[in-house]
Amino acid sequence: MTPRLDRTRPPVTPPLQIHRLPAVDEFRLSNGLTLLLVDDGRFPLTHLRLGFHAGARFDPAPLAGLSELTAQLLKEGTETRSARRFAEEVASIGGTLEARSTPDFLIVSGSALSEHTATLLELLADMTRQACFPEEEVELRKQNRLQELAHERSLPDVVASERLCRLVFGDHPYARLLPEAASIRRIGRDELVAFRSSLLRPQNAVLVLVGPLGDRDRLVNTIESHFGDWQPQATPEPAFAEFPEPARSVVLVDRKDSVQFDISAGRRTVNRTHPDYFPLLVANTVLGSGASSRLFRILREQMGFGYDVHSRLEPRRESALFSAGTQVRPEVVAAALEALLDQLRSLAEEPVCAEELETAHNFLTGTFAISLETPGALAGQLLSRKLNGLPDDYLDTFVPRVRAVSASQVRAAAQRYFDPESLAIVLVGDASRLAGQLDVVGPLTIEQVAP
Amino acid sequence: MTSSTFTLPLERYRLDNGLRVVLSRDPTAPVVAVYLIYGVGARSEEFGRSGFAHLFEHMMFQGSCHAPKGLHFQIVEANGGYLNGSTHPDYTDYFEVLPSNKLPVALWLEADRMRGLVINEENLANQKEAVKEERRLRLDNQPYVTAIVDLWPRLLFRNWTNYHSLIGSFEDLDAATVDDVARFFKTYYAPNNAVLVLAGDFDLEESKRLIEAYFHDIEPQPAPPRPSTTEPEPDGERSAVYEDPHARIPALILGFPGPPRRCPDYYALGVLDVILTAGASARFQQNLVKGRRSVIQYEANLGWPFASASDYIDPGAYSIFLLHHPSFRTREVLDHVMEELGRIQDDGPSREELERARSFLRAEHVKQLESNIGRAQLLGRHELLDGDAGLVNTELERFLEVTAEQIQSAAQRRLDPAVRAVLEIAPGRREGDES
Repeated sequence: MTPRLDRTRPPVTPPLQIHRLPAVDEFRLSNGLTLLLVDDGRFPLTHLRLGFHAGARFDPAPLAGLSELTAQLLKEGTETRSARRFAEEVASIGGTLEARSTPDFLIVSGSALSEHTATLLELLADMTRQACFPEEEVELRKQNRLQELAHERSLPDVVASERLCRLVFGDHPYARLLPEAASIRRIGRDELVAFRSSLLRPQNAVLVLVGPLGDRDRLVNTIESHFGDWQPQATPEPAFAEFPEPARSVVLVDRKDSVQFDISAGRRTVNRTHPDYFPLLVANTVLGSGASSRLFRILREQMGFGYDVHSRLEPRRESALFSAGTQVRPEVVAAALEALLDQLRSLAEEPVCAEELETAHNFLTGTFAISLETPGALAGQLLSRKLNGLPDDYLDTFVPRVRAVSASQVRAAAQRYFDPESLAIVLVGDASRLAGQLDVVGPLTIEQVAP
Repeated sequence: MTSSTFTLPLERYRLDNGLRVVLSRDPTAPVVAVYLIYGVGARSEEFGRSGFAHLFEHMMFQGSCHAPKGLHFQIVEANGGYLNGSTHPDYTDYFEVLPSNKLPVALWLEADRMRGLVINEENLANQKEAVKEERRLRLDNQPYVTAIVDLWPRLLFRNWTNYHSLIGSFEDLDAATVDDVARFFKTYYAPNNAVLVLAGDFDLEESKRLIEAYFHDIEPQPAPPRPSTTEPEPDGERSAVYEDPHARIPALILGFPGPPRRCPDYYALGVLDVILTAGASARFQQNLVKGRRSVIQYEANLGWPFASASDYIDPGAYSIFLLHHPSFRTREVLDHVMEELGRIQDDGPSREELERARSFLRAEHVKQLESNIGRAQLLGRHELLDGDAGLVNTELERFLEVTAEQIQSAAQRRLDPAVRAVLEIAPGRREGDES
């Protein structure tokens, strides 16, 4: 028998449930290393994250790229293992251990078959405490990094993001998305050793483990045995730098042979601890996050300007970069830019309707729950909460805080942060194909893509 | 529980109209993935209609019987989920990931658009523009991608069905009509040409009732035609040089005709690929990036670039893409890579290498299944392409059984220099370059 149901309209479903996070066991070792443990027996893999306050903003000015080179070289030779032996031991436990540098943090991510959790922790301790940066590995990494940078700077979205960050963050280290080649050339083994030994210290670090962790005492003993005698040491603060005030500027980066223009508009906003953050997050969602957002619906689905039309909020520890953008064919650059700025204006002028607000609330809160689905993703969220200095209940209160944002708060956030006059605008494309559209854009600076 | 005892629960059945259903329940996270995979892809296209399967995928989001344009996106996001679709050589798939109590929304949407689409001139014209911008964004304005997507398949395959551009030419896209779209829909988007998968937190009995109620009376269609994908015997090496205006670093693509899916050599090459390219202990990293210092980055796979080992239908290929240091000529780097392949052909892998590869495969298998959408995809692809979603629990073992001797002999048979394809990608000259 087939049940009857009305297939002509969407089914009515119960409201979104409140997602409960698993229990997090949080404590410190006596040397200051913060631990967050989640016993999650769903899969036979253990995931870990070890994060340090040692991201790119800790690079001394003439040595931009030091944090990322340190991260990339941590497993290329330690006091006890050659690079090759280290790689083979990681592989033999079904493991991965990768370190990377973000604007704020240096983060090691890893996983292994859970029966080898103790070995994974031993290897993690070895790379973070005893990396020795052999000369030949350093030279090879520098050589290849220079080539990778040339490649990355051939990508139009990288060119646009890099230029936008410079305009938005001025002299602050957040302005540097990628290091310059000259800076990479200046870095040597001594600087790498100094960076590791001064910043990779237990009281400057957070270790998160998620997986089938087994007996707690035995696990804590294992962690103690690998990290317990790690000496704390006062770590240097990043150099102080002011953020510039948001201001309108327009830069056209001339990229020969481009068949499209990459349009980005952005500015500095506020970090996740600021009272404006949640209203801003909801405003950004209404504007340009997801396929029911205004930018997608209007610029792509109605006007047919671009395939990817978006806005995003990229939080950093001390700020957040707001940006909106698309990539369009040369003949519609001015029209697309104008349409984009119109959408920013209209959010500041009129309050969002109840349905649009509810869509944004639900999209943010539902996908938030989904983003905590896997053990690795949960480990990443817990690490981010701790390193960014967010309240302990940040993940538990995320949903109600989003839901509490009203239409008038969205409008106020848009008035404060989406004013087109406060935006830096970057266009990347073949300048010779922009004929006749320049005056609409207003006064602008034209630059060449660095060869 | 260890990686060898980790299995997914699953139930398979078929509705009267031929729709295959796979259910895999796991209530540990409040998330459900709904995945629909159709037996149609770029290899279903007719000559002169390159890119049509992908253009059609866009049309699946432009409105259906009771869900007008825009509602599909809106309703999924308004219920806290996300969605997407993708077009491959041998299949096209669509998914929604939702908080688990929103499952009926996804079933309603998928059934509604399987029942009928809103196909009109305006939507088609709009999506042609979106696809052209997608092509400019992903191919024409990027280094390497045009070479990979449009040129590389022409060196690997001789049959238009297998080598034509998946995203299509602007000319072919413009030629597509509303009638083409309607015909394509009727031919390929029938329940008996699809698999529906649910993975995650849902009630089994309730879900079966809903699936029956939403999908049972959608009309089946005659089995769709499949153009011949037969390839002639390879008649020697094929090579080309492409000057890429956007590339700054030289690159090389090397490939060989692939073994039939799920034959013994398929598993052997799968393990060999791990030994050559997976992780920092792999031979390419140790011998080419480090030893030779010629290679900078690489990726490789059976099925690359449009498919993976787990989801290509024959004919496939084993391809390797490498960026290399400009101080080496591309042909030198080719020699370095061939030398690595030759060492496997001469000596096979070591016992330790094989053990490491097995650990890698065990861990990768689990990683792929950690998210509900990851499970749903693998289940659906096995059901559609192999006729058995249950392979998700047994296929790993076939890879783990591969011996060093099998790898060596598969390398000798399948990585034959006489039938290789080679594409050199040279950075294009630009103003300011020294001549």
